[in-house]
This record gives sequence, C-alpha cells and structure tokens, in this order.
Amino acid sequence: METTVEHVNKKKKIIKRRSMIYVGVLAGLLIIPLLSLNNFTMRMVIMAGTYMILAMSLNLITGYTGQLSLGHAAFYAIGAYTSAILSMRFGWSFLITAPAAALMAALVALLLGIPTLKLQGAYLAIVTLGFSEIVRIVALNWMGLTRGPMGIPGIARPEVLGYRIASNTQYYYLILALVIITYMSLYRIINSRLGRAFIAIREDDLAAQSMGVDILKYKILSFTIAAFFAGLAGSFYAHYVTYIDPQSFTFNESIQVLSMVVLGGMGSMPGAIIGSVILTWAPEMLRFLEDYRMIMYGAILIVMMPIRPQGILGGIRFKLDKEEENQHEAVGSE
Amino acid sequence: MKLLEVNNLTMAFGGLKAVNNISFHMEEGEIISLIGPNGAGKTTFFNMLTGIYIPTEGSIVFNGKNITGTAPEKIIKEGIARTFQNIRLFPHMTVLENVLVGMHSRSHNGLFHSLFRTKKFYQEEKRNAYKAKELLATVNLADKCNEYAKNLAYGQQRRLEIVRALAAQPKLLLLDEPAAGMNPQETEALMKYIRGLKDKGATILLIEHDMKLVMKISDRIYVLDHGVKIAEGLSKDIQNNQDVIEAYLGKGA
Repeated sequence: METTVEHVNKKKKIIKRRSMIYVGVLAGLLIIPLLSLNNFTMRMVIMAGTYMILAMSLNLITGYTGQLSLGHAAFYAIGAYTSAILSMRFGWSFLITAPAAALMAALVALLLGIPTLKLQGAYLAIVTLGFSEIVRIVALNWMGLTRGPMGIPGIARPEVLGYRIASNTQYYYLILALVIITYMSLYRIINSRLGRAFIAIREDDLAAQSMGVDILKYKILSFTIAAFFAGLAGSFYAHYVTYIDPQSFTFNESIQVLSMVVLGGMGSMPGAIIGSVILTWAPEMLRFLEDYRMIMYGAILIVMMPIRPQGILGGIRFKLDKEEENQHEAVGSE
Repeated sequence: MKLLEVNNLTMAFGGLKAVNNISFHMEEGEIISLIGPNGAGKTTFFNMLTGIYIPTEGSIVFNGKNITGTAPEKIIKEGIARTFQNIRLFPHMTVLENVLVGMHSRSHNGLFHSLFRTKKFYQEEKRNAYKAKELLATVNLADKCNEYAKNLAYGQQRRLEIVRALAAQPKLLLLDEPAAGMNPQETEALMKYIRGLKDKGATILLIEHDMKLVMKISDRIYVLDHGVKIAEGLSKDIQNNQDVIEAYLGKGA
C-alpha cells in the first residue's frame, strides 16, 4: 500500500520523464529543416507527414475499431476538393478552408456511415470501395465544379497568421503542426472511454454491446473522426501541391494507406507513423532497382506478413504507456 | 418484491420452438438456477432476457417495466448484466480495461471531455479505475491489471468476466455456466464468491450443469427440457422429480 506522498512523487516523476521524451522528440523534429536537405528530400518528408495523418486516421477505424475501409482516399479527395474550391471561388485562406474541408469529409462520412456501418467485414469493404469510386468519378465528370480531368491548378498557398507559406521549410512546419494535432487528438480519443468502446467492438462486438456499447453509434463516430482527419490531410495536400486532379485520389491511394497501417501494425499509433515513413520512402530508396522496384515493394509486404502478421509495432505496449497504466493501479490501491 | 417477471415467453426459429411458453419470476435477492440437458433452451432464454433475441411471443417485465425486445446495449442500463457460456472477454485489452468497458453504461465521458482532457474527464477516469481495482481485488485479480485478458488462466478469465458484468452495477446478474471447465477447488471458490454476492444483496440467475453447485446455492430451481419448463421448486423437490430424472437419464432409469 503506497502512501499518498509516494504516489504523488511517483506520478510527478512519470510526468517529468514523459515530458522530457516529448520535448526531445519535438526538438529533433524541429531541427530537420536545418539539416539543409535538398528540395526533393524535403518534399518526401512533407509527403510522409501527409501520409502519417492519413494512416493514423485510417488506423482509428480499421486498426482500433476493426472495420475494414477501402475508401479512405475518398475522404482525402473530398478534403482536397473542398479546400481547393473554397480557396479558388471565395478566396478563403487555409485557416478557414482546412477546418471546412475536414468538416465536409466528416459530414459525408456521417451520411455514408449511418446506412452502411451496419455491414461488417467484406461487405463494408465493398461499400467503401464503391463509394470511393463514386467520389472519383464525380470529380472526373462534374466539370462545372471540379473541372474534371483538367483538375484545379493554381490553388493559393496557405497563409497562417500573416505568414505566407511558400518554402519547403515553412510547409514542413505546417505539416508538423498538423501531424501533432492529429496525433494528440487521436491519442486522447483512443485512451478514453470512447477508445475503449472502439477497441471493444473490434475485440468482440456482441460482448461490447452487452456491456452497453451502442455499436452502430460508435462505429459511425470512429468512421466520422477518421474521415475528418483524412479531409484535413487532403486540404494540406491541395494547398501544398497547388494542383489537384482525380488521378491523385484513386483506389491505389486507399490501398497505399492501408498498407502503411498494416505494415506498421494495426491498432498502434507509432506503427502507423513508421508504416507511412517506410512506404513513402521505399519506392524512392528502391529506385536503383529500376523496373523491379515495384516488385520489391510488393515483396516487402508479402515477406512481412508471415514473419510478423501483427505489423512492425502491432501488439507492443510501450513502457511509457505501461507506466501510465501503473498509475491507475496506484490510484486504485490507495 | 418481484424483480423479474416473464410471461408465456416463446422463441421460435422457423418451426423449432427453442423456448416454448415459459413463465418465470424472480424476487429481489434470490439465486435461481436454470438447469436442463443440452439444447433445452437455457441460453436462448438468456439471450431473450438480454435483448439479443426478440421473443416471438410473451413479455419480460423487469423492475416494473416491460423490456421485451429492448436492444442489448439498453438492457444493461435497465440493470441486467450477463456473462457468456463460451467466455467472451476482450482478449487484446488489459484486465483493467475489460472492467472499464463493463462500466461503459455507468459513465459519461464523450468526445469533448476526452479531447480536451477536462477536469471531469480525469475525475471519472480515476473514479472508475479505483472502482475497477476494488472489484478485481474481490476475485484475486488485482495484480493482473495490466495483463492482457487473453494471457489469463482459464479460471481467471471466468472470474474476470463476472467482474466485468458486475462493473455495470446490475440489479440482476445472469451467469451462463460460470463453473464450466473449472476444477472442484475452483468451483468451490466460485460458490463462495456467489454466496458472498448474494449476502451483499445481489440477485442472480444461473445456468449451470454442476449439480452440486446448483443444489447447494440455489433458492429455487427451474428445469427446462426441449424448450418447455418441466419442473420448478426447491432443490430437494427437483432431485426427486420423476420428469427431471427422465429428462436427464431417460425413461426407466
């Protein structure tokens, strides 16, 4: 039995160590642009950041809630187009178009989720796949709104608090901020009553329901939150590349993001991050293989699955998290 | 006071009546056992009480309220919690998290409080973790808090499932074969534990095949066979009931 003083001290120590690690990681991330990397490398780093947001958000619905979605690119597209159109037509700045894009993606996910999230497994996968094709085809044919295959060029660069974001370094800090916001939001959602309900649905939906979890409601919530962040990533992409067309949001994109989640480890936040870094870089690192590189890319995934089917970091609990759990224990034994 | 009253309950799957016209009642504070050979309709009966099946006919009145056909996630709010015949824990969640999910219906933190880590968020999380630890201590699982549920021994998993159900603070606890697969010592300990719950005022409906356990612990017993209630009463009446003996052992036994 611990005394209250010991307990408080222990807690302080853990909080201190936690914040030290966070500060260290953040410092490391902040100095990356000072390494005078070339333009190409910086672009890759920035795209990896965009994929991190996509992979972390897909991880929420597929990795944590256990609902296979093959249409994440649809919400990425909705975010990108919403942002581009609002920016072009009304001249709105990034600080308004980004939340608007995220909310639009979330709204569409909500409307799609209500009738379809009753479905499970392969059926849900087919529905999300079909939906993402619909989004792409609408973008391809609704000339008046999206300019179809010509795409939308010349999207304004973001302006944040008076700063005009133009250089790769500036974009880097912007995507870093967005990745941190996404990570923190999802981390907090996952480590709460909400997140426990999501995971319980993945683990055993009948048992979850019997414990009072309204399965449909929580699946829709998870799906909507995931789409929100995919929309945010889309908005960044539009304002970064400054040109979008339906080709950027194909089924391949959904599969790419799903591979990142599976490779990194379903239901692991750091896993999604590592997965997106590896799979953004792999095609470039393997460039020396020339025509064989896409074969290698596939081979990595194939070899990975029998060796570590749970993904690189799947099923691993970090020491920090364990300490936090022990904290619960200390509270309980007072 | 009558806590549960079931009137003429029938569950038909096509032409098969898994449960046929059963009436049943429970007083507050009672332990009642539901026994019968395999396929008698016991689990089907549980599934109707917990909203997993919607009865073809009949009504279920709980705590003065008609709850027939209420969805499972709402049944637990009314005060009925259950365990499953084939253990259904959340295997990749920790022992503590399993119990915390059990408290889902009694807690409130939503998106806003979780995202902004409000004072209310921490208060509820702390209170729940404290209560969960207390409950786990009653079944000797306090030191297993951070263990994945799948790593527990069989008997521990059974106990965890009971505690997860209790975490919802139910007025009525349904236990579906809690002693299945347990050795005699574990069964003995379970019996003591269930008695302890009764002493604290719990009302328990039990499906069980271990007759020793059933006879010792039950206030009353209902016997089902082929979906029909063939007997009800006190332990000693049931033991000598000719229909019950026939259902279990066959005619001429």
